[in-house]
Amino acid sequence: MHVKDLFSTGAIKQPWPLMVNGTVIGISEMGISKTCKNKCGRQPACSEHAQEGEHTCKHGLSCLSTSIANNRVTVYGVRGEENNTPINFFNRAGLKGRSITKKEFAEWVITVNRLLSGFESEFGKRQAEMLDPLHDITRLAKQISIISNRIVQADVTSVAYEEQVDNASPELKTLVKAADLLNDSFDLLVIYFNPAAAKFGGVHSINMHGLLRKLVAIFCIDYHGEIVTDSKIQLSGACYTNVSVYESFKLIPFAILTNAVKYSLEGIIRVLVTDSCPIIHVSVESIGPYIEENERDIIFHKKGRGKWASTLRDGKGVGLYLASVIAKAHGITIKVSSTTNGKKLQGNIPLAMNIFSFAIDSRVPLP
Amino acid sequence: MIEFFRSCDWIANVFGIVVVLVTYAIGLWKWLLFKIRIQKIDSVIPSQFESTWSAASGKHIATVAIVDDQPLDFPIDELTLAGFNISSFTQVHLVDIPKLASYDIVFLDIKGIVKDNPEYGGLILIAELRRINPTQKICAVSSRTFDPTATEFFKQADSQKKKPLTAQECKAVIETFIQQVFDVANVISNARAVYASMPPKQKKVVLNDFKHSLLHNEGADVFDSTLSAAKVNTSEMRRVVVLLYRMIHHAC
Repeated sequence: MHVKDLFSTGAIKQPWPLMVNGTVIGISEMGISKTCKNKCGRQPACSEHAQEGEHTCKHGLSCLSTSIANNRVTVYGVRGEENNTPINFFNRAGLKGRSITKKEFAEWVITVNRLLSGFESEFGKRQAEMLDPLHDITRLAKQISIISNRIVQADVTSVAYEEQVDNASPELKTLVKAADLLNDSFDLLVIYFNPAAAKFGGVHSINMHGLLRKLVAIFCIDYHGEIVTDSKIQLSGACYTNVSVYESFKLIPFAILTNAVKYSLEGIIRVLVTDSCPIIHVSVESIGPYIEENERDIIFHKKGRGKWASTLRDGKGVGLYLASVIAKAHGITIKVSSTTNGKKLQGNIPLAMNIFSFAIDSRVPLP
Repeated sequence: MIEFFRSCDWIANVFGIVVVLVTYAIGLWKWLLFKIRIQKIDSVIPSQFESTWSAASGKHIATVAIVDDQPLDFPIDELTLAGFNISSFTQVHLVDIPKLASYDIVFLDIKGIVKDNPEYGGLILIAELRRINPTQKICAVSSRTFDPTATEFFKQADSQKKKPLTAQECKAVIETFIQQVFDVANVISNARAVYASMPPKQKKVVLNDFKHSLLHNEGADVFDSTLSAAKVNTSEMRRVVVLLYRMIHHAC
């Protein structure tokens, strides 16, 4: 539940008029000051005031702002300790009986924070309880991966693991890759339930090309020599610089590739890695539904989806959101561009060259 | 005769001055020698030690503890065969924490491992281990990464792995940790810094104990207890010197 909605229920004591992120809640014990009503109307001018602490408006009233659970909470239309406005005939009705001390305000903020952290803790416990069955499933998925890899490695004719996978039967090859895919999907799910997991596992060094090659191999599942996935993925470029990343990093290209495979409508998916030491650029290009300009930010939000993509495929708007969560944990940004090629699918869905890209600087330490 | 002694009074003067000066010079020389000697912990470090130390040497002395109620999730036999010094604990009491803190590397689960707190004992344990031995390397082994109430546990670990673990995964984690714990340049520089901060008399005692323990091929635990007797009271200081001793003891 959002903080604004929580205040709107009236369950939390509101001794003074309140705004959350500039929106008036309007159910306080003190009621709105006549001055506020007359001078500012429905939207008090102090809603623009973003700074923490006390501030006196031009009409002689005070507002006190603070941050509660990343929301700007403002008590307005009161008379604070720093307010020196003399009471006269004209402002008496708007100022009298509206005093507030900083101590009172701070104590109120503490109680609200205490309540919210209680909710948060209870929610966490409940979530842990509900997700407990996942514990065994992720374990089983890993066991499948270990056993399938062990069967592959039983091939003594080859030394290198990649060679052993290549020599394996199509069924075994499929099993190995599907198990890897399943494990990576579970890892992505973990970030969804617990975004803090994006920074778990310490920092380790990876080679971007090696990581992408492994991911591309996972997506091309063979069965009797044929590629089962609708899209063909081509990796090009080279990378000689290693980068230090968290364990979760691989899920960024994984989520972007999953998205490209899901929405690719024609041609091949091109994955390009460029080593401009110390910066490594990675881009994934595919032809899919056009992403409108105003949607290029929204698709990275939770449940955010593009208009044309929604008409084409079912989805929850989770993959790219998670990729952006992990990217943020690494201090990088995923960029997107979409250029229409003039073609249309099913008569109305415009096709475009969609490019998702990110760059990582090997010199910059992780946040 | 008297005349002779009278004529030699200059010798008496010279003798008196020279004896005093020589005495002072000898004293100063001895003091300088003492200062020079006590200022160098390097005197106990064998030549070529830094250049010949390798990760393989670290593997022989590193102690690894696995704390998990399901030890079958770890390839303990394979790791032991590979030459790692592994100890496994299915459950521990909170009073066992100091013992666990003495290991170089710990694989730690969150649930079901502490008898006094089966639900989130791992969380208490990891915080205590971090407090007692901040240089210890801890790998959190649990699939509960989706659990927000376990976030603090994972944040405090140096690494995190999902169970069950393969021998390859375990070896990779242990080898990385060994490189970090037994980083010879780092260990020597830490020992120098710790040694420099000791009072002169303590320096001399520590150096003598170091040499004596090495000479008599005594274990690190015996050397540690002699350090306690030498009033090297800070556990952090003792840990640094003992780590250098373990490495030199193995190299000799």
